[in-house]
Amino acid sequence: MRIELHECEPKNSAGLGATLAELHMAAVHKAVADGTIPAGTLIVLDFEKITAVNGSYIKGTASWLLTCGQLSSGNTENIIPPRHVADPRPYDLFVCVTGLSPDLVTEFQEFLKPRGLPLLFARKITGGAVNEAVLLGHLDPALKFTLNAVTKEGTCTAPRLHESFPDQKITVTAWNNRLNDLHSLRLVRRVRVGRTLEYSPLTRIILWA
Amino acid sequence: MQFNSAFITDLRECLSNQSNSQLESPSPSGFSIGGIVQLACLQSAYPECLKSSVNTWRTSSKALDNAIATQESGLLPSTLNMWDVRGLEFFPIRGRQWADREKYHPFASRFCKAAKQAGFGNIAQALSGALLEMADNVVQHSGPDPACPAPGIIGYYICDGHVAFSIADLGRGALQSLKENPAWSQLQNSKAALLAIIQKHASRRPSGGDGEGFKEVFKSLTNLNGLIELFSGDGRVRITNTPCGRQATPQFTGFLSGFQITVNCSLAGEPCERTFPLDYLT
Repeated sequence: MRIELHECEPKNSAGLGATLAELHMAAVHKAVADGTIPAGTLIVLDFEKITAVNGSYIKGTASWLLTCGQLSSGNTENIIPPRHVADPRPYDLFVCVTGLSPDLVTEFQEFLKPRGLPLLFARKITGGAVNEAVLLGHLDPALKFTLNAVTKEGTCTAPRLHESFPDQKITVTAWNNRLNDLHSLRLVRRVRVGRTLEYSPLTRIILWA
Repeated sequence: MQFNSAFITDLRECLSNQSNSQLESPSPSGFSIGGIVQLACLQSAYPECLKSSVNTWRTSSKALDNAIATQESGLLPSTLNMWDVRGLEFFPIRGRQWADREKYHPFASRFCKAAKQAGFGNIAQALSGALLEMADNVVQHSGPDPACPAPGIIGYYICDGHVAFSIADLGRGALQSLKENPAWSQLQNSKAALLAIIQKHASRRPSGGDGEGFKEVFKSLTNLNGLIELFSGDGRVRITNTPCGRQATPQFTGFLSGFQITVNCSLAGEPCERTFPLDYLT
């Protein structure tokens, strides 16, 4: 699912402010509230032709989707019920951005890094699938290593990674924890196959900012 | 008498205490941007008390007349060329699409150009960003639902080496807004709410709420002699940018619903509030 932000109403080449973000995301807010987006959907936010963004706009667009996805993968007991349609709510979504100019990359980095959030910046997309992406924001070295491993392996499980990296003194449980963390950060997908959890990357090639 | 922040603080006190002594004060000799924007709001909130005095004052001040007309009508008062750079302007905040391309962008562009001409260079863009963030907060937080924001007003005054802007609304105010979020439901008063916003990045949003708007303002004030005043309900906080960091001074003040903020930035000298003469714009 791709959203070209410069086509969203009210059309504006500058993505500034929380209210504009809410207006641009209004259809997504409604679809999330109504539950009409298939679970596990990757939403690609296209910033092509957007010349400027600020923190509030990022928070209302990419970060909003990221938060919905993260809420869906964590403990939902303490989640405060949303009061407004634009409040984040648990929803199994993934998000990446594309079409960022260098200035926009800087804005995203300034937003993501202090919050310890990672976000994929898709550089090559074919038929809705991300072929190459740059990881923006922050990711712990251990999780970086794990994400690299998942991206190289394709679909994998914790025991398989344990076998693939015998030199690393990482137990199956530790691999499991790392994969679970990547899933919570919405960087890998997860499906249950029998008694095991299978993880797969969102992009075929990952580059580091 | 200068109708500045100190005067407005006294006036708020008088109006909320139903005392008329301040209303018999002499006519203004000048205004600060915060003073004039808040006076326009006070006129809306206490029309019967202020009507007579304000009507007299606005006949001698086109700036005050513009501010009140903008606040009351929600329309831009000026008929000047939209690209003429001006040192003093007002802009209404109405509805969710308040910052549209046709009206707000020329206004923001004029603000930016005026700030550049006043010597602020590249900081002008950051100040413009901070202004937009603060004004957008009216839409985001003033109403019971972001779909129904309270009306608001922006004013700015720019002169050599000095930029000041003020944003005000008569909505539900900081305390009621924050109480939407269970994390802040224990706040006791508006002063505490203002301090929570400034010092703890409190937001009504239950998830990921750490207000971006004030970060933009504080970022833009870095290396400037900044003075920020926030009013909401019966709370007031004055923030100054000092060499040791930001200093916040909270106090109680006369009640006015909603939220009002004034930002003053100077390239040199002590943090201060500047005033312009009564006949400015005339």
